[in-house]
Amino acid sequence: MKKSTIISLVVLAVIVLWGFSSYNSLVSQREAYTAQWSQVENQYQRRFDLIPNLVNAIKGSLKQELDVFGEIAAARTRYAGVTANTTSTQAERVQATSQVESALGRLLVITENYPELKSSTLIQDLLVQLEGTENRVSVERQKYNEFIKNYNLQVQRFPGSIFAKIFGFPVQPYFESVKGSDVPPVVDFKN
Amino acid sequence: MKKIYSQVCIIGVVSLFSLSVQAQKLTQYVTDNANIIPDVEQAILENKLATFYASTTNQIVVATISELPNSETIETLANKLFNENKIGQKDKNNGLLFLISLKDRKNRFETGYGLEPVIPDVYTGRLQRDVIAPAFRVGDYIGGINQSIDQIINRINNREVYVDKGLPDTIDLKLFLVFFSIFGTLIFLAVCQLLFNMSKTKSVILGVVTGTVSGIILFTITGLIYSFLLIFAGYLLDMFLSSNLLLAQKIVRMLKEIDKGTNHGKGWTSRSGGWGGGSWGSGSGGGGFSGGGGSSGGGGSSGGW
Repeated sequence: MKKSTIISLVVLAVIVLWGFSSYNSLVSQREAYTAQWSQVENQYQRRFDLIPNLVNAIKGSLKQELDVFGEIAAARTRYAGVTANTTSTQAERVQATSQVESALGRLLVITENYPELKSSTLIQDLLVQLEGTENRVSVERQKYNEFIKNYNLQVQRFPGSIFAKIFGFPVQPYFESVKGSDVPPVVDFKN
Repeated sequence: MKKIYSQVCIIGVVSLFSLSVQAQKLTQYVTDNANIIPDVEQAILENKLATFYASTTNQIVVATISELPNSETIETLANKLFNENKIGQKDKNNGLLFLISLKDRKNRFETGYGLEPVIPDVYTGRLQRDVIAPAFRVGDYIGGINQSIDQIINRINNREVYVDKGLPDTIDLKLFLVFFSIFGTLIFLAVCQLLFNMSKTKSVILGVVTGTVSGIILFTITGLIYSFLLIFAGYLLDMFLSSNLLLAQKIVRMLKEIDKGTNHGKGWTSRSGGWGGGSWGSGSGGGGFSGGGGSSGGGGSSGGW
């Protein structure tokens, strides 16, 4: 065997090894962010389990029906439908989530305006739980974005981007809160 | 030279930037940046928390700041402080941070994953409403801190802290040990045999091919890029052995003897047995705080006064 054959064999081996390494690392990063996403959904679930308790407590001490109760119920039903459907895209999930968020935000603002609600220990405890869940959601989302960032870097940086194209690893979108959620909800007292 | 200079500059700028983003490194159980705790009380509290850690491994850390940085809320800062200082033990996540921001009139309990079932948000929320807010409103900061910390310590002492047993890295280590104690000897013998045969053939090409194939197999199993280096090392070794047949046979004989000794003394497992312990626990003497690797997922509650 000639020297050139040996050299080309070695070069080939290096490229093959490099391909393996890129592929494996892409797969583990994809697994990492998928696992992190389910962590985010865990916290969502926890929040949705809390909402009925809060709504009932508020209803009980308010003795009057507000529009927002209906909105929350509708938003929750929609979210449950989207998560149960395995074919729904991430964008749909995010949208369903933000609908619940905005309805909930309105309820919280209403709570602020009723002193008898704010002083109830039960409602205060429920609000603390809800705040805790909100905070956990944002922490897990932030972690999710960090995973996505690492993954996207590998997919887009030059030599690795070749392998990412070959093996079919697309760039993933970050989790961004939906537009308008930073605007505080407007309260209308049409009850 | 110019190039080196500019690189040094870049590194300097980068490290400056990362410094400004990082949270403060805590070295004490009580860090009073806002100066609201009298020195004597601080020493007593520090001692109490150090003792509590020594007897239960739970880490409770108190930190005060005069004001929140512009880019942070009390929630984000508490989470950063907690996770960057790794409060609590790695396998238990049994840390708790009490952060107070004086001018913002806000405080937050940040609870590690492991303490969440023992110290739920509702519990710290009630402490904040019923104990901390009334005391802080009249300026009795140390009173509010002491009372709430005492209640938390009591509560932890009366409950069992949940221990996360499903940590992947410990499972991996166990599998690793089992794998080597069962197959280690077999693989070792096979490699010896291969070396022995190859030292007879004097063929460099065969060595390269075998080395590449075994390298790729090793690589796909372990995913380590270093296996490529191993191929190269194997190639050199083979070249060397091919030209020194006598030496090669000597080495192979030696390896076989070592293998026998290993088999009898079970050196593999006993030697690696020490890995599991002692990965944390950097000097707890002297009373200073050092994190044990705990993390928080944003548990806890925020309050004001």
